[in-house]
Amino acid sequence: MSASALELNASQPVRLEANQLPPSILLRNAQLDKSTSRSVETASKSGEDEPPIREIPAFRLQIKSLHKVFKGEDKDVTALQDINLSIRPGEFVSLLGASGCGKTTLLRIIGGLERNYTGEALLEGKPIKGPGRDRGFVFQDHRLLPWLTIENNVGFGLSHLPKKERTEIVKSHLALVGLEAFAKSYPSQLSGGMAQRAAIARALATNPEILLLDEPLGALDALTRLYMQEELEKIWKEKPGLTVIMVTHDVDEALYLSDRVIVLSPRPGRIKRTLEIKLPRPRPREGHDFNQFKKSLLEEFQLSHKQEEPEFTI
Amino acid sequence: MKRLFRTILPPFSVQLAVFLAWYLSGKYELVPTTLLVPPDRVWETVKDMWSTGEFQTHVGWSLRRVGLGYLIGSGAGIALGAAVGISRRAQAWLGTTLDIFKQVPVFAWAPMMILFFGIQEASKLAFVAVACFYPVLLNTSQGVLSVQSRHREVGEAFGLSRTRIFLRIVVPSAIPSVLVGLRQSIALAWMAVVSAELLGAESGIGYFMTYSRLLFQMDGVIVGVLAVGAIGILTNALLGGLERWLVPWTKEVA
Amino acid sequence: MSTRKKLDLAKGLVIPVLFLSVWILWTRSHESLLIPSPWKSVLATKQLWETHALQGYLVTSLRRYFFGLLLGTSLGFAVGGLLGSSRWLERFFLPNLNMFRQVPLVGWIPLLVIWFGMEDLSRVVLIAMGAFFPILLNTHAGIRRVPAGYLEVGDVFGLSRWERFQRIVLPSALPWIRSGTILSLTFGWTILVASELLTQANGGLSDILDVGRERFRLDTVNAGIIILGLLGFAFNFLATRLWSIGPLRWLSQNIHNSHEAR
Repeated sequence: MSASALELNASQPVRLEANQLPPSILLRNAQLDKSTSRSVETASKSGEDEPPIREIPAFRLQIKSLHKVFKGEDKDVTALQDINLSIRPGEFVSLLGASGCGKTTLLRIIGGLERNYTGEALLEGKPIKGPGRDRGFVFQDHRLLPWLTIENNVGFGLSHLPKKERTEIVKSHLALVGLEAFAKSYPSQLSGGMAQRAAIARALATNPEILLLDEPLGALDALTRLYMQEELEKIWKEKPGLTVIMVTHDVDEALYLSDRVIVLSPRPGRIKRTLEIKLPRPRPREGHDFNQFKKSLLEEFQLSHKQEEPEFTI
Repeated sequence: MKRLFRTILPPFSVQLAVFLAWYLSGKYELVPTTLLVPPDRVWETVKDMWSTGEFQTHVGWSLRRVGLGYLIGSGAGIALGAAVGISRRAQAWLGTTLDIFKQVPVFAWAPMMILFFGIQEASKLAFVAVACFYPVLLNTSQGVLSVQSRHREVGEAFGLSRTRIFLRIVVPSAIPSVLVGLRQSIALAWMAVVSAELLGAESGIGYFMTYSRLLFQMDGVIVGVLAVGAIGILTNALLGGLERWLVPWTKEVA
Repeated sequence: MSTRKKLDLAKGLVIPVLFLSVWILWTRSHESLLIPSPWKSVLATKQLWETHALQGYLVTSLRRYFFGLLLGTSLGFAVGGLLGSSRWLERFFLPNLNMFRQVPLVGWIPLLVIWFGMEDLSRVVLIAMGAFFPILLNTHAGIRRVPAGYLEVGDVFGLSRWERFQRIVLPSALPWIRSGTILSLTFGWTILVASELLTQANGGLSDILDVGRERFRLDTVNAGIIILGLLGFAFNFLATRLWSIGPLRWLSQNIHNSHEAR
């Protein structure tokens, strides 16, 4: 990015790639990083090396040297190779990539649905061995159980709670996704978008620490998708501290919703690039910055034509 | 090879176990032989019957009745099924009547057949025909009906005449359902033949079984059961194979 | 009802009405025991009721029917559930059961009579055999066809294997089980009639048919047919209706495709 563009955008804090920043900023950022890797309480004291009062793993999810191989009939497929990833509490992260890049596999490993892998996957410091109520999962096909009403579906993971508490939680989550009027309806009576909202409510009802979304809007039509992206953001804001990891192949979607976009490349699945999106929310879909990010990402997929940067952008 | 082991060996081992149990019960008299005749004696009886021609005669009679009754019943079923399937008018006129008769359990017709036709061949054939009529009718009409809505439009779009549409589109598409009906009704027809023979006959496997039972000849009864079973399995396998060969995409289970 | 439907209904009734009229007219001129008037058949039914003969037959037949159904459906459900849950058991027993199914049930009658006598038991066993297979096949198919996606939902919520069976597998298999029970009921009724007709002197409803046949009285035979037909229809109707009550409402909505295994 040329210096002029930088100046123009000085009013809006934009986190750019390391190789695009002047050295002084780089240094300050490095110090900021160091502080956030310690306990959350001492984050305000930037640059100071003070021993933390309480050591909580500041990364909710940590993945180190993760490999996953699927054994096939004639040959083995390396779905994921050497994945290293750390995700902080409250972050919204997208896993972006074309088909076959392993993003869904990675999500499923985090969710505990795939159990054979080498390397480490730690949730709050503890290795992930299987699924659990601390992680909510939303599938691309909503998978609401057709024989249960919407409210019973939403309350599906709450069977161990007393009835009164269960009803309360179900009610609040139905309100969260705007489906209170459909509590007694059956999934077959709902539209695609509504059903997916119910699925999200179901996943959130158990109050998980991480919400995992596997191409949640992929089955919806384009217009509903745009609307649902806004809804998703609204819902996420209502749950402070909720970490969200979303798998998508839609660049716009990733940019609109995420704090961080992790781009994966296929065969074998590897992290190609990580992009921090520090745009304020809600994000205009047509902003210049938005488009810059989009262009940058599309270039990763070699999908945009490299154009000459204009001298002035007045 | 490994797959063959997985699919053939387990059921076969169960069959072997059952056979062994049967044999041992006979050898060590675990069950009184008046109730369960050991396999070697049964085999003797079969050989006997074969040499005297008794076996062939009875089986022959039964097969003859099944064949003829089945042809008549299925033929009528296909004809009416096609008619009801193609023509909405036919469905309107005949529908209620067919529905009413469907409610009656098929064996209840036997006494009436005997009343009208006596204990002659005709009553047995009539009964068998009635027994296999309904499955064929239902499946054929359903098959023809489901074709109509979708593919007929294709034919019309190509400007084909009604008969051509029928021959080139309806018939081939309806064949899977017809085959399903045919397979269901052969089982029923076979049951009907045995029943008719059990009731009142002078030949056939059913007659042989009753006769053996009345004379307390257990081995005869067992031979009868085995014969009935074998023919049932064979005919089912034949038609099932035909169905799988002609229409490998049937919706049915088992 | 639209006029078209009314017209269709009318058309449908023409043949039965025509048949009845021809019958009545024929008997007006040629009355005989072999072809009595339709009214006589109705009278015969009434008579059976009034002499309490019908009640006796009814109780006997229904008793056999219900016990046979109970035995057959419970066994069928248990075995179907087992074979549906264990691949191992399925591999061993399902092919044999399928083969067994192809042996016409009536062929077993002489054998059953020798083993269990001429009392109720042989008939109950036969009916049980008839009711066994539809339930077995359908329960097995229903369990095997639970969509993997739903099973994953169970995993995601950390359900135990038993919990998953109760809350996901069983409800998902319910449409199939429903088909199975309806088929069992109807087929069971047919087998009941068969078992009674093919083993004489039995005290059940088929005695009406037998008596009529022996005495060459078509009115009695007709009465028998009408009664058996009506009861068969009633059971079918009941079975279908039973599955549509309150919490099972969703069953009538066709969520999956074609739930029938024969």
